[in-house]
Order: sequence, then C-alpha cells, then structure tokens
Amino acid sequence: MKPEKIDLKKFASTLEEYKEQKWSLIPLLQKVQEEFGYIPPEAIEPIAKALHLFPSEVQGVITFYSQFSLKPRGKYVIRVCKGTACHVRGGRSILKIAKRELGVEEGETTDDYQYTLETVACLGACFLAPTMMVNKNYFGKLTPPKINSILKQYEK
Amino acid sequence: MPESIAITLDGIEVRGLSGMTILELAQEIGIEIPTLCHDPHLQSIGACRVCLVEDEKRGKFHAACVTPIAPGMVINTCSPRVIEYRKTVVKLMLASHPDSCLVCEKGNRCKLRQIAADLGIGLVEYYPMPNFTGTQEVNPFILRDLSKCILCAKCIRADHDLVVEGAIDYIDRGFEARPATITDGPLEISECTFCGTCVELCPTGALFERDKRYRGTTTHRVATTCSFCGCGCSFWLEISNNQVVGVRPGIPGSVNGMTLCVKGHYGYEFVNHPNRLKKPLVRKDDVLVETSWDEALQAAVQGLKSIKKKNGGESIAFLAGAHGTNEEAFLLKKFASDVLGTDHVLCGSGIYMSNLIKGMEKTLGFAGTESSIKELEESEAILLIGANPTETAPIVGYSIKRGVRQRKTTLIVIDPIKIKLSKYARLWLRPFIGSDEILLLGLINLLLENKDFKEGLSDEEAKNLEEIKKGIKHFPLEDVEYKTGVPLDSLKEVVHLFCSAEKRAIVFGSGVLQQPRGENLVKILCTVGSILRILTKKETVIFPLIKQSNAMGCFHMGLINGESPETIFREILNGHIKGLWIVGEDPMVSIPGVKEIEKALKKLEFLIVSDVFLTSTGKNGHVIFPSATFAEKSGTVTNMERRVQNIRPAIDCVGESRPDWRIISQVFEHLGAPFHFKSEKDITEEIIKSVPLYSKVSLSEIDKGHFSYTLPVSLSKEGKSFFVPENVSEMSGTNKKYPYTLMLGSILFQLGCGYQTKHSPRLKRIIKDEYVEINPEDASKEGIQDSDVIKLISSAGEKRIKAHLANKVPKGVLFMPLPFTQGSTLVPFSKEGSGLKTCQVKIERTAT
Repeated sequence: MKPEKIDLKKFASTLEEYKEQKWSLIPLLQKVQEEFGYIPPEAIEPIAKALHLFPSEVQGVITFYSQFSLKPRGKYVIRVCKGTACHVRGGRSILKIAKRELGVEEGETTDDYQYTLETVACLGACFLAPTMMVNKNYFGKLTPPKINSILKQYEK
Repeated sequence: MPESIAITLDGIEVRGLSGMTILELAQEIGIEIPTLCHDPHLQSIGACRVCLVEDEKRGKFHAACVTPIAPGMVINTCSPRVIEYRKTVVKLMLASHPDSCLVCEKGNRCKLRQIAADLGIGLVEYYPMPNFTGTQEVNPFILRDLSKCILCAKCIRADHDLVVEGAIDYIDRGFEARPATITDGPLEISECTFCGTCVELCPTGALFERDKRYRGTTTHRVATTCSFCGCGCSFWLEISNNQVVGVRPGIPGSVNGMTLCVKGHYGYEFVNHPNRLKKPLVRKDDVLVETSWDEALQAAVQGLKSIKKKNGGESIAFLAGAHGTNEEAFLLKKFASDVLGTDHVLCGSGIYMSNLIKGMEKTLGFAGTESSIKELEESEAILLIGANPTETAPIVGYSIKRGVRQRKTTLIVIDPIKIKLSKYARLWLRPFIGSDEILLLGLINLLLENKDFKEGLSDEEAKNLEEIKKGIKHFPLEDVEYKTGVPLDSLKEVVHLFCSAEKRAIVFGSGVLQQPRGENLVKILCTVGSILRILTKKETVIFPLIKQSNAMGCFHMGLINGESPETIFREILNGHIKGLWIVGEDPMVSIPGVKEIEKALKKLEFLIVSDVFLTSTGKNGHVIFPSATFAEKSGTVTNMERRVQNIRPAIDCVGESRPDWRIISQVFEHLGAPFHFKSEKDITEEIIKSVPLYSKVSLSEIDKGHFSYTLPVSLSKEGKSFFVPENVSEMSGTNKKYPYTLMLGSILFQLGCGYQTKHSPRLKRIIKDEYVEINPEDASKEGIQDSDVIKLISSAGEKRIKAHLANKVPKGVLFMPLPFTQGSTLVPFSKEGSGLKTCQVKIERTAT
C-alpha cells in the first residue's frame, strides 16, 4: 500500500470505541493496521492517550509482534521460512533467490510498494519444506523456478 | 491477616509471613542471594534469573525474588546445583557483555562484576555475542551504553513506576530487545526529565552520569538534605579529596526514596565551582577588594554601629534567603530584635508565602499542609490550581502522577497554561487569566446547591453554610461561564468528581499566591475545603507548594510574617531604612522591579551581603562575606510537609568561606550581643527551648545520620473557617497599550530565578537560549515566526528575547521561564503587597 498522508481523523471513531480500556490495545492496533496497512508512527500518541498508556509502551507492543509494522508495507508480504526443516532443505537459497528477484533485503519493501520480504522462524508446514507465504497463501516444496513463477503470479 | 509459615532454608527451619518472597525471607534472616533485577523500590519481575534457588522437594528452580514462600518448602540457596545454574546464567550475560571493565564508569559499583567475582567466574568460554553499540546522546546528564545492558528492566520500571514519565520501554523482540525511547531516539527528544533514577538503579555500566569531573572511587559519603526546592529530599553526598563529586539517593525513610530530580542529582557542582567567593570583600574607593576576615568583620560592625547611633537600630533591616538553616534564620531574627531592636527581618520567600500565611491563618488557623507528599499519592481526587509541581516540586509531581497511574486518582487541573500534568488530568479547566476567584466562587455555589448533602448537619454547620450562601449571592452562577471561559458543565463535573472521592486534596502554588488577590484566593480555597469537609464528612487536605528548601522553617522562625520582602525596599526608598544585611538572597534577580531594587540598594548607607557567589546584589555591597554552602555546614531545615531534617557537613569550607550562622554570630558578638553560641547545636537547643512548635525535636538524634521529624501542624488552631469576598476583581477589559499578559513560571532545570543552580554548568547547558512562548495564532497576527527575536515592552521596561510558538499558552498570553527574567526590567516593582508573576506587555518585532 503506497503511503499517503495519514489522516488521523480516520480512526477517531475506532479510538472512541476502545477508549479507556487497557486490554484493548492489541485489537485496536489490529484495526489501525487494517485501516492503513501499517501502524503510522503518528498514531502511537493518540492511541496511548486513549488507553492511558505511555507512548513508549504502545511502541513496545507494536515492535514486539511481527504482525505489526510501523513502516508502510508492500501490497504482497512474502514470508520465507527459516525454520530447521526448511533450512535443511535449502531454505537459504530460497531466500537468496527471493532477495535477488525482488531486489530488497530482509525486512525491506520494494520502491513501488508491491512487495515486502520478511523471514519467519517457522510456518508450521515442515512437511512441505522449504516453504514461504505470500499474504495468506502457502507455497511449499519450493524450487528456484517455482519461486519465479509464484512471484509472476503476483505481478501488479 | 498474613499467617506465619515455616520453611526450611539452607537446612535451617525459619518462619515467615504468608505473601513474603523467598528472597525477602532470606534477606531477613541474613542469607544472601545475589540479584541483578531486584530492588526493594521496584516491583519484582524475575527477569535476570540470578536469584535462582532450588526447591529440594520438587527438584525445581525458582526465582527467589518472585516466588512466595509456601508451608513446608525446603529451599537451597547455594547447593552445588544452584551454583552451577547461577554461574551459567551469569556467564551467558558476560558472553554478550564487552570486556571493558577496566575503563567502565561503573567501576566497582557494577553488580554484574561483583556477582561474577563472587561466583569465581573468570574468562567465559562461551562464544561472545555482543549486543548493541552505544547510543548518541546530546544531553549533559545521562549516557547510555546498551552494549552493557543486561535487560533487567530496572530503568524501565523506575521510569514507569517511580517517576512516571514513560520515556522508555522495551523495543523489538528477542536478541534485538532493548530499552528505548519513542522512535528509538536520544533521551532529550523523549519525556525524560533526567532525574537520574534509572542511572542509580542500573546494575551495570549501561547507564551512567555524564561529564562527571571525577571518575575514581569516592572516599566516603555523608547523608544530608537537598538545599534546592521545598520537597526536602535526602541523599548522600559523595566525597573525594574534600570535594563533592556525586549525589546518591536511596536513604531509607526519606521523602524521595530512590528518586531525585535533575537539579538535586546533577546540580551539585555549584558547591565546588571555581567562582565561589573565597575571601571577604570590602568596598575601598568604590571598588570591592579582597580582605581578611578581621577587617571585614570590623567594617561590618563599624557600619552597623554608626547607623544605629545615627538613626537607631530600627533603621537597619535584614533580608534572608530561604536556603539556609533554621538555626541561621533563628539567629538572625533573635539578634536583630534583641540587639538592634529592629523588626525588619524578612525572608525573600515572603514574596509568595505572605499571602499563603495570611490567607490560611485567617481561615484555618495554621499555614502549610496537614498532609504529606506520600499521603498526597493516596488521595482519590486532587484539585491542582496555579501550581506546576513537575517543575517546581518534582517529588510532588511524581507523587501525583503515581496516584493517577497506579491508584486511579482523579486529577483536576485548573490552569490557563498547559502544564505537564494536564495530560494526566481527568479534567483540565482553562480559565481566563485572573478569573480564578470567580471560578472558585462558582464552585462554592455549586457545592451549596447540591441537595444530597443537606442531611446530617449540626446546627452550627448549617448556620455557617447558610451564611456563606448569603455572601455568595453577589456572585451568580450564570456569570461564571462568560467571565471565566469555563463551561458550567465542566465545573459541575468537578463538583461531582470531587464529592464522590473519599480522600481529597487541593494543591496550589505560586500561580495562586502571586496574584494581586492571592490572599483572598487562599481563603476561598480553604473555604472550599471546609465546605467539602462539612458536606461529605470526608477528608479534604489543603496542600500549598513551598518552593524553597527552608521557606517553611523561615516562617516558623518568624522571618515570614505576612509582610512581603518588598517592604524593606519600599522603606529604603522612603528613607526609613539606612542599613541592610542580605543573607543568601539575590533580590535584584528574585524580586520584580530591578530598577527600583537597584535604586534602593544604591541609596543605602551600608549594605552587607553574605552569599556563596558574588551576586548582582552583592556588587552593590559595602562588605561581602563568603558563605559556606549546605555541603559545608550543619543544621536543620523544614520542608513543605513540616518535616525537620538535618544537613550535615560533607566537606571543609571552600576557601575562607564560613557558615552564615558563624558570620552572624561573630558580627553580633562585636555589637555586644549578650549571648554566645559556640556551635550549630547550641542554636538548635535554643530553638527547641524557645520555639514551641519545635519543642519535641530531639537534639541527641540530629547528628546520628539522616534525621527526620514531622512537626505538629499547629499548636493552636484558631481561625474562622469560611470566607466569601465582598467583591471580586473584574477583568479590566483589554489593555489597549499592552495587550498581552506575560506569565512567569519556574522550569525544571533551574530553581526559581536560578539562585545557585545557575552556577551548575550541566543545568545551564541543557537550556540553550532564553525564550518566551507565544500562541501560534497570536504569533501569526503579530507576524512572528518560530525562533524570531522579539522585543517585549511593559510599562516598566523592555527585553529582547527569542519567541517560541507553543500551543500550551492560550491566546493573549505569553509565558517566560523565571530564570530568563534575570536583570530584566519587565515586571514592575510592586508598590504594595508582594511581587506578581504576571505583567502586561506589548510585542515589537525586531529587525534581525
């Protein structure tokens, strides 16, 4: 999602809904991320204020969970598995190829905000190793040509 | 009720109370369990795992700091298995720790190093995995080196639970996790106030004091009381080579516990400042020249004698600062009235305290608070008006913030300016400047309208309330909204929130006291308290903030009696006072109207100034005595909660300086005083004998270390509890010539106008430029951009200063920190009463 100028008014009603309830931090963050595709850093302050938390605490929770991002992410988030099974079956080469194809390093997003490349510790599909995910879809038993064809699927 | 539980600890059967942790019980019976992340001031989180102990029955390991004792437990704290595990834990920490112990700032104080040494860990065989590199900081107080961080979260807990700033928390996860500010930037962009509590608690060298002049081990330390604000924090002064080289909090039973503020923690450098006055000075041929003590004392005695002979003793006045000891204040008052027969012995803090004393004594029969800073934290509702405790009395600020965050205290802030605590407030009312009186009368009106409380009143109470009701009729509720700018509904909510709370406090400061009708405001606030007490039968505490370390003591010693210190200068200008002795005060800076003050000082026939530095006031003196600081003398001081504490000499007097009490008593000996005090203790004894409030102070306890005794509120409570003014000052429309109201206020990094703290280099460095804050709308109207230099002009004078655009000030108002008013002529000298914290100004743009 291309970063636009963030209009914080967009989530004023969401904030109102979750106000003064400390437990609601994570659901609230999820809603914000759904709305903007990421959590704009300027949203931290109002979120903290609404839940009577310190901004640093909110930042702590956001950066703890890999699902949350403070940076705009690509339309497609590619997660390459770095788990043991995938590692033995050549997961490292899969990552290398993905990096080369997309022209980004781990945790980076392409300039056109199409792809974000991430790694995960395990996708829980070891029997399909090596694996990766694109948004919510799993891809297993990967080989170099297969990666290229998968990425092609998601072109634009 | 906690029950007694028996457990076996290292083979010994011991008993503890239920709810105790294994660590607490072990410490109680003298078994030492090493810890890195535990501190009695903080909640335990079991992060470091160094305190692992073995549960013999179950074969499990527990973190002793978070595991409560259970009946029949058999615990080993140092079995071979425990030691082996503990060693592994520490070795893992060392594997990610740099080998820089030799040059580490923490040196022998490092707890990680101590524990490693105790466990006999030398070189670590694990693969080294260094964490992080140091962070770039610009602030002059605290440096972070996260490569030494062991993730104990003490700094985070100190920040969240003790001082409640929320500047830091963990960021990221796993190997990347580290304490960080928001956006992981340097401390100065965060909420950090540089109180240094985290530095004190950090077990390793990850956090350390920056730009210390001294890095070695200190020889000894002396427990004493801070000489800055009215909170009365205690700390140890660390001494090396007869110099104060550090300040450490953590004295048990102290006001502050483990916390301090940036001034107390890092402002100590004024003590050994090279510019300290080291020799007495006398004026010869209109120049101040250094001289011997004998000659200076002689000159002082001669000067005073000749004025006494010519004009009588009552033409000599004394002005004392509120940073000295009770002993000095007492001595000055006693000598002046007994030897010279003069009543003109005043304290500079009278500038705001005189309204407080007049107001409180006439309504409640005593002055000061009945409560304590600790109890304030336990209030259910706090009304804060005209006070900014996070800047002027940081410990009170921490207390209020802790209440709000940890106990759900309802905080109501009444202030036209947005203060730090506005953020913590349930309700922030922003009345027009000068309309507090109408607002508070509106509050009384609403309280009396509340029908729920009519029942259960005694006849007298009902009669009193009836009377107030009659008086308040002149101030109809309908007027409140348009006269104050505060919606009536907000005021109704204040009444609701306040009445439903069990324990309440009304906190106010010089924003109330230094108003033209400060005395009335105090009386009205006390009346609000009394009405609430009658109506709800619940406690309502009045809590005025006192700004100087011993202003309360100066009041008890009779130096603050309702007369403002300006009286002295008015009397000089009238020609009634010819001689003046100023002890530890700089009126040319601290009292508004520098032109008049200077004129008065120049008009004096004889001026003695005793101070630590040569001040702008001192430059007008005939005899200047070099005084010793709080670190070089002993005595007692009384804080804002009536706690008498001791200050103790930590180093020898710098140069030839002497404690003020000695100077005073030497001069008066020559003037023929009939009594003689050999030491501070003699004077304390005399205070105990002749000041009834202090009669229970125990002389023998004072020198045994940190001393603390809370005075009774008052010996005789006489006063009429209620007050309703006959009229209120109406806003006199907009002033066409000077359309802006300039408000002056304290800032955290300087004490009031900067007395003493302005000589601390690090405190000075944090504020780069002088500035005045202006509302962006006003700025655009005047064509001013951020950082433009503007000229402020008042009826009394003018000043060029940088403008900062800030939403915290309302339209029509400018805010300038007090230390920047130094030598400024903006605020006019007050012809009656005491000096104000506001004045009308206009703005002129300057060509840059």
